[in-house]
Amino acid sequence: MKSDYIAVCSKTSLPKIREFVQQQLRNMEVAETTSYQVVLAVDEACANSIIHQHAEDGKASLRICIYRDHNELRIELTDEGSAFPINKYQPQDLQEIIRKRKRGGLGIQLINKIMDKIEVIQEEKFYTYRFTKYL
Amino acid sequence: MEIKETQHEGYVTLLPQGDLDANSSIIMDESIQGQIDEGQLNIHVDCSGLEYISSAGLGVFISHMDELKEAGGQFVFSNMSDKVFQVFKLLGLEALMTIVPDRAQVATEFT
Repeated sequence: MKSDYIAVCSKTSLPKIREFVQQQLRNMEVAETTSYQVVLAVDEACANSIIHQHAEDGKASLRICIYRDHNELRIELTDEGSAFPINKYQPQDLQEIIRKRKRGGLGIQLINKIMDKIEVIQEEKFYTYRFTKYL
Repeated sequence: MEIKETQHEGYVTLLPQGDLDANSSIIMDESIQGQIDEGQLNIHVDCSGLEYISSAGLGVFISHMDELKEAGGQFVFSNMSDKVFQVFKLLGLEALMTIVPDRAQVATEFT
């Protein structure tokens, strides 16, 4: 079973996206601890696209698709534009982030810690982040 | 998100209610900055009403940590749910921040 959600590119969409993902994971009987982490990873990816790719352009939208294949949970985030290489990040030193009083960059770190596999697919003017979590 | 602020002798308690995400993190940032501007450098964050935190929420605390430390203050977090604690732990923040189980232990951390 596949479930889709189209979200407007606004930060105010984030609670609705989390609610959608959480509900789908509940329907797929995903354990609560795993579910909380997956919701967080999807929230981070969507926030990244909404803020950095679209500069909160309310006319743009994101598509989130969730499905489960046996013990693999897959989430796809499809968007217009150029993909940010979220699967090629370099872990940042936390002490350095604190010392420099930075507040960004941790979202991608969280996505990489939570998800088991991250694929970035660019197709003409659309890109897809495909996240896999082994259950 | 709503944040209730309560002044105590030697520190202030911030009690956020709801989700601390990319959308609401500015409210927390303004609350903390307001305390710093007034010279309150010992900030207790009571997490009992905090249902969710993302990297944007963590980023607010991280960005003020050094400033507080340099001026002789600090954050103390209490009443954190397992779910919220898990997010701190994923990034290794639990080792760098003062997190106590409940309000009873907060005052001693500021003395």
